[in-house]
Amino acid sequence: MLDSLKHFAPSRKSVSLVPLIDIVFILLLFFLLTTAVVKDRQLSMNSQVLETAKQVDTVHVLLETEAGVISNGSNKISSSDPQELSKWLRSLGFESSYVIDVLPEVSTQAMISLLDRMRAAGATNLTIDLQ
Amino acid sequence: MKLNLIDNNGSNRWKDSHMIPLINVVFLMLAFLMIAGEVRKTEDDVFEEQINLMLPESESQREREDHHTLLFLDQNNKIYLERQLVELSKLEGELRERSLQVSQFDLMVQADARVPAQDTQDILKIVRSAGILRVSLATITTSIQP
Repeated sequence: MLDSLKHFAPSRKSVSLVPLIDIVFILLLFFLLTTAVVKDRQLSMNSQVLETAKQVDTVHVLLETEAGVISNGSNKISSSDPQELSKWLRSLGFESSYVIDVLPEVSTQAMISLLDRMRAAGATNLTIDLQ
Repeated sequence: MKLNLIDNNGSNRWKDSHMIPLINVVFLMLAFLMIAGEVRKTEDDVFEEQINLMLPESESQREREDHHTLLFLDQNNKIYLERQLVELSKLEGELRERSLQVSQFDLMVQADARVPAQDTQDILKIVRSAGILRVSLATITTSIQP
């Protein structure tokens, strides 16, 4: 009799929370690792900068390929190699004014990347050719 | 001090109730990350998506500022001034007219990364010939760390 009553008594079964915590931690880790933040930036193209830049030596740089091959008439180098670019800029002077022109097949992204690379290599006066 | 990890029944099960504050904290962090990732879209952001604009990436650390006027140049070389389609031949006149309406007029050019650089250059030349001196080129920086 007692055995049959025990059978109907409310059982104290509890659900283990450990797997839930595991899943939550995995989700947390996933969000932390995969979240890509896109930040809005801008490049100043003020014409006044160009006017000031004319007072120092002007070097015309032609971006020839999407991969970043540049030339200034005599020399042709790959701007994607930071050491080569830095050496080239040193020979022309970091303070010189660099006016960038492009060939028709080059994209806007390649032009912006060149501006970034030249700035990173030490060039301070950079403008896009607007003549 | 010893932690009592054995419940009243004498079994070696962890007391799950002790984990509740931890779960609360983790859930709050998760909720924060999910909500913080949501950014309210402006009309310009919606328009960017409509014309499938892909802005060029750059290393520039300069935060984007508000500008009087936005000029969009999409992949198909279509020009939009304040989200209105404008012909290239009429662009200079439109810009000149707008720049005269306010003092210290500034313009943000949002050119697609895939557009030939010469087309972006041509737009900048027109902007300059319209007498606008304060011009910026919109870029983005992508990072995987929040």
